[in-house]
Amino acid sequence: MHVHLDGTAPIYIQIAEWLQHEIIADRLQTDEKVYSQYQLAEIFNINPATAGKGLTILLEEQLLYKKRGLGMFVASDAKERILLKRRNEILTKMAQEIVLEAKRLLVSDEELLVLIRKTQEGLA
Amino acid sequence: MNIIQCEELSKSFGRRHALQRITCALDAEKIIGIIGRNGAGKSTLLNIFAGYLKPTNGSCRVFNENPFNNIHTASNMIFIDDQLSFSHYLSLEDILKLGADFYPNWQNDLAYRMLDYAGIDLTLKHQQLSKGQSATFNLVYGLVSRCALTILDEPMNGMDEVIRTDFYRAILKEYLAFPRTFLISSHHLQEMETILEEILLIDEGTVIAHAPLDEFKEQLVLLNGPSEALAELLSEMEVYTQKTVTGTTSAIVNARKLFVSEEILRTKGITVSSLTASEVCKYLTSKKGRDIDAIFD
Repeated sequence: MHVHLDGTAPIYIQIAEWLQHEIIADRLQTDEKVYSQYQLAEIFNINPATAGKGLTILLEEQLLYKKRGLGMFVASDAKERILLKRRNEILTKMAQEIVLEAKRLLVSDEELLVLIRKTQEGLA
Repeated sequence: MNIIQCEELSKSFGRRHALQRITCALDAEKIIGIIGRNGAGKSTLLNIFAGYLKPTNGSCRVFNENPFNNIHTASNMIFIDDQLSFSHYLSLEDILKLGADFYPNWQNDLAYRMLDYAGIDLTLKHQQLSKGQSATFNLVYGLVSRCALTILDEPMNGMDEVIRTDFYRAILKEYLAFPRTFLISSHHLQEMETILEEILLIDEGTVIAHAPLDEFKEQLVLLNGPSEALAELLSEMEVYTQKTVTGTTSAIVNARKLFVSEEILRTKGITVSSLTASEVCKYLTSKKGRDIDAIFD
């Protein structure tokens, strides 16, 4: 497996986000063992300490739990909590950016709403 | 645990001060990038760690001993650079055999596999190799010796981009398989920054930064936005460089002195973006107010 990292965010943040993505997509399920920092280092071609920092973020948010000597596992409510957090934080931030960009481009409020609705229909 | 400890270390060559009062401690089993401009003192420092040069003043301890002329250092350390010389009479195959006799953790199979991958003929003599092949051979030699302290001074000089990418990965895989201390100096910071844990930045013979890579990168940020909105903010900040094009200003500033939140900045149309480690190095080590553009004005 080889996954490419190319975002501008720090690598450990990108690792944390990738793991959350895997949980949302059900590729990592409740009580399943997650990759160790050494496996992540190998997959992403990064220093294991950086990978460890990514795991620590999820551990601190209690999306993962530790079993001594066995590794880290997905917490039971991890998926719901990630979805909720993404809605609250990321979607709000993105909406803010869209509104600001629309203002810069002199797009009216009605036009913007129409655009969003059209986009929704296009993806439905 | 520290593998290297320097206190007030200075080195002069005649009247030239190559290193001035360096104090630093490097942890064992990390991959550390030794970064700096040409002539900053990287190689001198690495040569002192290796026990090849004696400090003029101050102390340097490696494995808790003075490394100079020390057999304990020599047998647990390997120093790879492009001046590494091997016998002119031996084939590469014989050079590997001698390596296997000297280094207890030597991986002969791995050496054969890596050199075969790089397309290097083992019946050749070292002086018959091209510049890039010779660098590749030296790096393989350094990796398969699996020394507790592996010092790579500009190991990728002369290697083409494909083989450089392969061998950064080889360094990482070897580190995962057999954790040890790697000190790597390079001009290609961008290519190797993902495999580094820490960075030691040297400028004009002194250490100007020693930090985990992420922390190092986060110390500077790029601000971009309307000039009027930025002008007031920049007057209170440490600005490394700034440029204005048609009413939009971009500036690189010290992130530790940025006290306004990103949300507030965004409402003023100012964006904050991060820099790569090599950009941070560039701005920290370039003379303030000096710009290549200035000599053409």
